[in-house]
Amino acid sequence: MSELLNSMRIDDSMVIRHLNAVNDQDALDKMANLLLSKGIVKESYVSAVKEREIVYSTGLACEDMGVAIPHTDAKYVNVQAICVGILDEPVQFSHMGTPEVKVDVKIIFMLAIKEPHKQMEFLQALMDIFVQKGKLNLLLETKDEKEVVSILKEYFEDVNI
Amino acid sequence: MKRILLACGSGIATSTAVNGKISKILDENGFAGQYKITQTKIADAASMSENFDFLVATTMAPQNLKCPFVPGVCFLTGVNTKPSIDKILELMKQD
Repeated sequence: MSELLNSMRIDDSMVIRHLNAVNDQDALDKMANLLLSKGIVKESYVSAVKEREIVYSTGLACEDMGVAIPHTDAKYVNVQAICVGILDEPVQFSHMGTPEVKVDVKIIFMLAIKEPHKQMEFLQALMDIFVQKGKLNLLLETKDEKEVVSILKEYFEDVNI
Repeated sequence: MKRILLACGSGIATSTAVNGKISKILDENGFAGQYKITQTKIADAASMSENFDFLVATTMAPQNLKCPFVPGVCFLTGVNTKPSIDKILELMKQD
């Protein structure tokens, strides 16, 4: 289903393969500023996504590893996109729904979403990557940003919802 | 017709992803056409809850909730989904 990505931008300029961050807020700051520098989000997105993480944490302890899916309201977004950050050293996020549980996060998928109802299949496909064993691990073994993008695109094309 | 309220922090991202998963589970268990899912922000969920049969959310259960609560984060991770699936199916069978 390649049309899944038609309205969702992902390219190698939005992949940070060696993200160095001291904590979750630092990681969010770096990724959100990358989206800002590309005009994907409004300036207010940066603080909004960081504040939202404190109130509604987005760490997820998946089968393969911990991931996080920071995002915030559509009003801060110009262009729909996904930014991927692979951390050299995991940083701790609070788990979604149970903030007292901490998750060592290795990959962050920062979402800039404008039209959620049109993105249902995309979001489900992303969650399917989290659920299936081995898929997230492959992203860690990539040799460059382009490979990260091509693996993700392949997953989205394969997905069968 | 069961009225299901589905909530996450923003009402846009994870509730959208969970919506598809829950619909699939319900349809596979013979409940197709017997439910209506409404998505909302968790901040609005408690005040809306009176008019719903149960709430599935990817956040903590809100205070002053007036319907049963089902944790929804497991549908995103795929880890330990059985308790939430069982609870949803049980709530669907209730009169």
